[in-house]
Amino acid sequence: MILETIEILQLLADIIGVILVILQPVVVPIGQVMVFIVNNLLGFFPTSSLTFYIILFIIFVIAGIIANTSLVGDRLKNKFNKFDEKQFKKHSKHIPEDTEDAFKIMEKKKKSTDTARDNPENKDI
Amino acid sequence: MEDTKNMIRGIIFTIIYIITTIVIPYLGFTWVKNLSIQGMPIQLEQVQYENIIFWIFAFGLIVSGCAFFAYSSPSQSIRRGIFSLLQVILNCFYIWSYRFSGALEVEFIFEFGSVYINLTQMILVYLGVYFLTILLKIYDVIDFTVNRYKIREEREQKLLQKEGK
Repeated sequence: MILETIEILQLLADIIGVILVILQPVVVPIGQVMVFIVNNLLGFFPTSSLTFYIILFIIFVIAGIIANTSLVGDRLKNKFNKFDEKQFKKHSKHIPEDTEDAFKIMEKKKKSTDTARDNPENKDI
Repeated sequence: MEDTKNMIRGIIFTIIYIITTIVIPYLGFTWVKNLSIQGMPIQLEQVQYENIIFWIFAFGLIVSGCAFFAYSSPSQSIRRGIFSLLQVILNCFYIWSYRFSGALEVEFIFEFGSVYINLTQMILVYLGVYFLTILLKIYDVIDFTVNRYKIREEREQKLLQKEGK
């Protein structure tokens, strides 16, 4: 009833309808294959309680926090994987001229941060 | 700084996913359960309702957790590609769980009869589209893996230039 009274909604519904009708012959068979796979796999999921799913959610979140705080994607800031200048130069085809200076500044900053962190006087901070 | 930004992005997307995959469907089905049209109550069967809510919560939680991992990962990283792929696959399960739970074949019982709605065909179209999305995500993972050095180089050069300034 709402669709009949508001013209824009009716037009939108028509457009979506046309798209679905065009896509249907191609997409529905693929969907049926997906249904077959999903139906079989769903049998493995427990249906008795939500505990399994809550644990899985917590695992994903904790793993995400650990992985993405320690491996942020920049080797310069990586805690586990030290920045390898040789490796960087080997794979860097177009190093801009000011990169060398920038790299030195970055290293200096990193060293000063590490020194400050390792200083026993700063342990209580 | 970068990791804080990633974490905030992850949290924001997790909240969005929790709202769209758990809260809204839950409120929607609860509303439909006790809906009345022109004074006549229509009811979802209690067992059917509980089944629907169970699957909404179950897959909603997994999809949201996966979204946190994917969106808190650095952009164009292999792990983001893998978790985005996993998320799309889980979305398929989520969508199909509506059918599994009976949500797509809803029977509204009126005082003088009943109305039966079957939305299975619409879900088949959805799943077909999701299959194409899975192909795209697989391509992304391959792309991120093959070009990982180039991606890292660009990322580090940006960082170095930013630090140099």
